[in-house]
Amino acid sequence: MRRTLLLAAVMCLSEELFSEQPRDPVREAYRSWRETDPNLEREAAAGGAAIAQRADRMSAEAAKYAAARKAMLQSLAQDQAKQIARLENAAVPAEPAAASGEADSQFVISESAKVTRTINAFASDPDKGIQQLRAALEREREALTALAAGVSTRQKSVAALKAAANAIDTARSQALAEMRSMSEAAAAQVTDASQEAEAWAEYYRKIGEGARGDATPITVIPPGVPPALVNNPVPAPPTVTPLPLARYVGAWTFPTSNGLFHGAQPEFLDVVVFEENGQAKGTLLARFKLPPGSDGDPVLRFDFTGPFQASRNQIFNLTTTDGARGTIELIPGAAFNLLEVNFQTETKPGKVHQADVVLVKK
Amino acid sequence: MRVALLLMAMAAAEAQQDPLAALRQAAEKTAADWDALAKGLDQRIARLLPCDPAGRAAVEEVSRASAARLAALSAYVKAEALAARDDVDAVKRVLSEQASLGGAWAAERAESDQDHTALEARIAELKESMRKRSALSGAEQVLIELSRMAKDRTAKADEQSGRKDKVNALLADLLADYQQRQAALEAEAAQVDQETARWASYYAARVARAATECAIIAGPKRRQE
Repeated sequence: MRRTLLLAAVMCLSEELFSEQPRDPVREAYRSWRETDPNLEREAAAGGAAIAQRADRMSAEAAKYAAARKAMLQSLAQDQAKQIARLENAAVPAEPAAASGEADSQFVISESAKVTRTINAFASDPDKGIQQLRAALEREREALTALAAGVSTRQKSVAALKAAANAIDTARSQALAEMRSMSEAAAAQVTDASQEAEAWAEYYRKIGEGARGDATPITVIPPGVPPALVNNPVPAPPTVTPLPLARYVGAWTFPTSNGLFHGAQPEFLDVVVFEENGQAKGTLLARFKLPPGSDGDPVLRFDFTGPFQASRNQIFNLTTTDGARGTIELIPGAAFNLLEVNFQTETKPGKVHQADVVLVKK
Repeated sequence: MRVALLLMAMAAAEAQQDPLAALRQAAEKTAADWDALAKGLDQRIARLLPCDPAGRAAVEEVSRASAARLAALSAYVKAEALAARDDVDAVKRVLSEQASLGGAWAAERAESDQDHTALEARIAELKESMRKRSALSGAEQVLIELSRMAKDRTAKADEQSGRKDKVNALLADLLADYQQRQAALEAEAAQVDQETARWASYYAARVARAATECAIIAGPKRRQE
């Protein structure tokens, strides 16, 4: 009863602690997202550039929330995997034969029988010497009787040990099976969260698209009228990338205010990407802000090329105008008009060799 | 020869990695040594005269082997009891952290449910906007899909939350089993120690019997001299 109460207390405390702390960043990101523009859907009918901009802002906030949620779910999945590993390591070893007490028990039985036979044989012998021997044998038998009781008690503990080990084996297998199911489900939730994040980006992109042009009310279609079909539909251009090529190709620039970057801060940074027969060709031209007193070269220019891949992020080889080699990664942003660019080059004295920036489509 | 050396080296390396395995090996070996000596004792002393010192030495050798095997068994069982205590602590940690994870899934379920309700409200607002601007229909379709995803998320979190109750119950049972095992090992360790004293008493009685047999034989001999 006491153990049950203790367990209940531990579990309640743990639930309280856990359900608050790791979710806080997720809740904070959610609140920030929802408070950024709570009336977007209600006011979307107004249309125009303002609605598209509001949708972009919401898209960025939704992306932050999605990232926080994904991190929280990944943490849950990792914690679950850790608990599984801990339980897998708590396997119970089989008891050694030496601990069974079987040999001891057989020895005691056999010796007691021998001693008793000898005692009985001398039972009626009046010889003083024989009586002394009989007394010695009686003491030996008493020691054997005490031993028999001790061995028997130990064998009961060994039997309890075996029963506990069997129960552990069964309960551990069952608990591990359930925990593995939880772990698989947690991993699936991480994938679902990624899909949800993409859907939110798509949603805000469609709000922005829908806000363009003049407002056109929905035409009321009388019941029974079939929808119109296009007789000569134009197929979408084939592409290997999972996202439309428009998410990568085009002219992109670093925003003049509040631009996001890691590493060197650009004064300006322009990227142009073309596509031809599945191949990407592009150029990056940038000027970076260098620390005061630095005599390094703030300007960097390089060309990059390579085939588009069947992955969300695209990586291409680059060569700078100074001949340094490296790679550039194009990462589609949370909104359709955002592109994260991350590049590294060989280190050359006085040259910027690494940066990570978020660009907007021109 | 090389194979034997290799096997010995492998066994030594294994014992270094797992001290419990080394203690177990020692317990098994000393028990086998005692068993062999104890079973052969009667045969060894059968052809000796009662006062032959080799008889007393043979009994004392078995007694020493018995003490050695009980000491080895005691060391193994005590080490195993300590390892069992670590297992109990590990399962307590798993139980506590599993309960925390369960709490997280319960919170996920509640928040997904709230999110779904909020999404339904947003769909209603967007539908209203669509009456004036039909181009928003694409967005509406995606928002409906997002609402379905949130509902699905609630159901999955609910499932996880339900599994958590089962896992917690199984782990509570498991903890009780590990605690029983630890208690049984501690009882066994104490019993082995008590038994050691009883075996010593037995072998002392066995040596005393040999001395009595010698005294009985030696008495009339001395009388004849």
